[in-house]
Amino acid sequence: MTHFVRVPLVNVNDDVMTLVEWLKAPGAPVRRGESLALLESTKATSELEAEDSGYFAPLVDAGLEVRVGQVIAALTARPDEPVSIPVEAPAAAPTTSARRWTKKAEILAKRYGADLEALAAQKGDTLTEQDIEDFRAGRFGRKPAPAARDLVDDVYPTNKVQRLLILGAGRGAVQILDALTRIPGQRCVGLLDDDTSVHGKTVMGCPVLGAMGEGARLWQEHFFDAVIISISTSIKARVKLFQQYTSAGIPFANVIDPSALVMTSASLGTGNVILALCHIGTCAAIGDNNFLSARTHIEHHNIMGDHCTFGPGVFTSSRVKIGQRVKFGTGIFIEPGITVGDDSIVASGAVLTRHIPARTIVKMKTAVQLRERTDL
Amino acid sequence: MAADLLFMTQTQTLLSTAPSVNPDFYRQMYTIRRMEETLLALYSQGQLFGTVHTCIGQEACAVGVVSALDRERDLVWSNHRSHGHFIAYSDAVEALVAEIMGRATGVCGGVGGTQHLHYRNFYSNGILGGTVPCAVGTALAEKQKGSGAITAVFLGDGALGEGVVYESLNMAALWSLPVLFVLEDNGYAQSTPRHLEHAGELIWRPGAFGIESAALEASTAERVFEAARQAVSYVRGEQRPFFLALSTYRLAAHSKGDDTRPQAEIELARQRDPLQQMRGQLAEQDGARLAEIETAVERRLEAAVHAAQAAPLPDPEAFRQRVGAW
Amino acid sequence: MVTYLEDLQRSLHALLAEDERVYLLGEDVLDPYGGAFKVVKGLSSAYPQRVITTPISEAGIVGVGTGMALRGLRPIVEIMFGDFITLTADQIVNYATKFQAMYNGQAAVPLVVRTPMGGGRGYGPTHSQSLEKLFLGVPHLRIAAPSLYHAPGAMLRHATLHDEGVVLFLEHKLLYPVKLVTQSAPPVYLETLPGTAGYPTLLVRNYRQGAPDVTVIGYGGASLLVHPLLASLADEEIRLLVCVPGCIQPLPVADLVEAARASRRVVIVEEGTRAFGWGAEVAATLAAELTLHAPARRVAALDTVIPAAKGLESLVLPAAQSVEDAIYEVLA
Repeated sequence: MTHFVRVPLVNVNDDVMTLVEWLKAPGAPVRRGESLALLESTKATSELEAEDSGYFAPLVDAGLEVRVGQVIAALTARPDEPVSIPVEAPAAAPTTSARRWTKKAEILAKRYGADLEALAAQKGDTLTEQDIEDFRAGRFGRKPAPAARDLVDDVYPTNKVQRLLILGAGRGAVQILDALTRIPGQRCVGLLDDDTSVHGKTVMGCPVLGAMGEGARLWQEHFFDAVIISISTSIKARVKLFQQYTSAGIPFANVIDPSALVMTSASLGTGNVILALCHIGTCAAIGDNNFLSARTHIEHHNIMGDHCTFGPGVFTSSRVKIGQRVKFGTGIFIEPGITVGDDSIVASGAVLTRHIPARTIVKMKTAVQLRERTDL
Repeated sequence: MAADLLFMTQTQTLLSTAPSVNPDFYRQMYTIRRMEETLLALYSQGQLFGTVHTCIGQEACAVGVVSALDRERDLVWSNHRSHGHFIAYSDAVEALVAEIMGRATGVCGGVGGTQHLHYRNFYSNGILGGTVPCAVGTALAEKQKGSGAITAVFLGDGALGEGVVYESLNMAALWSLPVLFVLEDNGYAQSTPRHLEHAGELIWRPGAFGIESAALEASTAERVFEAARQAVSYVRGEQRPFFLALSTYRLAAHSKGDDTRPQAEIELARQRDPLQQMRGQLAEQDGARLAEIETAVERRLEAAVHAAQAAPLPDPEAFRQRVGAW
Repeated sequence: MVTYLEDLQRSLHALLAEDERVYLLGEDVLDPYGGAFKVVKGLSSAYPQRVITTPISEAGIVGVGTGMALRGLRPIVEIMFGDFITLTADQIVNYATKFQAMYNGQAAVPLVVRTPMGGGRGYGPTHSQSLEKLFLGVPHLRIAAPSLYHAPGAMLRHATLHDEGVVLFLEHKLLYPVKLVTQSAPPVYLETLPGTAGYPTLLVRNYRQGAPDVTVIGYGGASLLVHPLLASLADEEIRLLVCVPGCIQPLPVADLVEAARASRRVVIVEEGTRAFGWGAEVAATLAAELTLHAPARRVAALDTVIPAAKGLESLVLPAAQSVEDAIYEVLA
């Protein structure tokens, strides 16, 4: 019966000892109680005594570190008997069942109110911190970003210049592109237009990439960060596009010319175009998807809804309320406190002195006289 | 060497004889006595902050022992009752008065006060017994440095209740260190008489560690000086510790106003006041010199008090800044 | 790669070799025994004049060390087990740390008292404690505690030769046989801050970029407890910034505040008992300097004796699981 020699526990400080030297030669007969080896711990050097008799077969080289409990030699019943080291029963193998989510994902999900179970089921793999952050930003489930194409944007994602997709390649787009030349934090990466004749062309160097419907695909491919509608003439087109893109989870951005003044405590929704020298007064609140031509003057404490368009030089006074989808011409003045109802049209040159109900067309009656010049 | 020594390891009380008085010893003792009395008076007038532990009646111990030391290099460790040791060592009367009156010009800028003094090689602290291992440490350091300096440490009988004193006796003997242990046995630990404090005889204790000792009554500074001189010579020459036990009596209270000892006992001790013994003899020896000494001391003390009263108080801002640096 | 013990041994050899003022006092320090934890092995043979074996007199030998320091020597006093440090209290509190200040700066006590603290070996209630907490708050006392990430030898050298005051130098029993971690190797990234001169503060991160989720503050043996969490929590995407000061008194406030500010979620780990401990002081100091997203959590030993039986000992002493739980609490 082969007896296996294990490293004993000599003092509680040491799990590991050094096997300094063997004191018997391989094959030598050993009697119980004889010293087999010198073991060194942090406290002292001690001799390892044989607990049985037999023929000595060392299994580890001298000079090495050995662990308490480790088998380091055998004492066999017969000389030169082959020795096979006993295989220790394996400790419970670590379960490799894939985690459904990391602890960080769990903590963040709780903080943001995300449904871990649902997201995990959707992903089918371990949910990570990034997944929860994506969920929070409305990006969960997007295709993974392609391998870096852009050597800056795809490698340094934070603080990057916002990449805009412009919907519409007409004159509205030109005005937006002009404003972007003065806005360091935003740039245009492409335009979409349903007019196929402009596909493949560029506007101020920016490519027209396809029809309006291409937006979803380009979004999935991480081609842009936000979208802006440049069409200024048709409110119906603006509304339709805004709803289409919003329901696809694609974020809009505001484009605000740096020369425009947005005063303290003014608030803006998203998707607004605010061109040169506009004025948004203090405590004014503006909704989404409005198009303000140059020098639109919105006074303090105004409230404006969504999807309105303004020609140049529209002036409101304090506390004016403008509803949804209102169209304004040019050179318009509105007295304080006036309300302009939803879906109204205010023609150029109007001076509004009383409330305008919804779905109303306002046209000033002015006499325009034309006479031929006779002094030339 | 052994033949020179008068010492035995058993108690031996020497009889009071009357050699001639050393005028300088008298001057030192008178300075200490008058200073202590002045401090007590100032305390009564409310001019002192905190308490004082005067050594009135015990001056001969301080003067006799410290005069036997080499004031240039030897070390002295004192305790809460430090004034006598301090004046005998340094003669820095003005600095001590200023310290006790809490002035910036004091020995430690007013920070230490009466119990916590340091000046050249003089150290004191107010927790009983803890100075003794420090004294063993300084003796060890000086021995290693080869400076030849010895360390004298003063203990009251009460301090022999502290365990660390015995640890120190053990180490001083074990490592053969130049420490002179000086026991000023005034029979009381604060208010408690010796027989309620200690088992056995105090003089047996050093012998238990193999430390040579001698005991005598501190009847005059000259007598103490003679014994101390021989002890110092032994300590320095043999580089071994010595334990000198002096019987003495504290004529004033432990600190201030807390004296519960029997009046008759105090009266008896007052009649044997070493200062008065020496005064009497010096009057016979050299009356003019006596008068000269006393006048000079009075003047000096008066000037010291005035100087301290006029001296600036410690600067709080300077202290605050030093706090971090320490 | 050197162990904590080897680093200390080498430093002590170098100190005794280079500077004649350095002395070592302690119980059972003579060869061949070389000290209860073998830290001073070989020294008494090499420097017999300056390695002094003492009687069992902890108060006495700290007093002797104080006297030696007052006279210009650089003594290192070894207290065999940190549990015995109570015996030295009067000498440390009323003597060694007071002389410089109460003598108005006219004396100095450059004394080092070194001792191993800590449990985890089943030594029982009076041989397993972390009693430094009894000395926290003693003015003019520096307390140093090298960790798994520090080079203890360099710190001991600084304490002995360059620190002019009293230094309580805490070693940890469990750290002695452990190989020091002084190089970054993923997922463990080390940064050394100067801390308090001679006692660096180590920052240990389990991430490369971004801000940490939680700041863990600990010292000495707590580093052993926290170290495995770096890898396991990196796997769970939890970014830890572990701040390990080398000097725990006075606190390196700026380092602790900056580390706390990075995440504003703090867990403080100590092996001493919880009530009135080091963690309480760190938490109060942080609260005075910045706002945290959640109150700082303290992980410490239970306020009772440290039992000898293994299961009970691990119940009382702080465990890695307690640190992990505290991290999750502060993140919730």
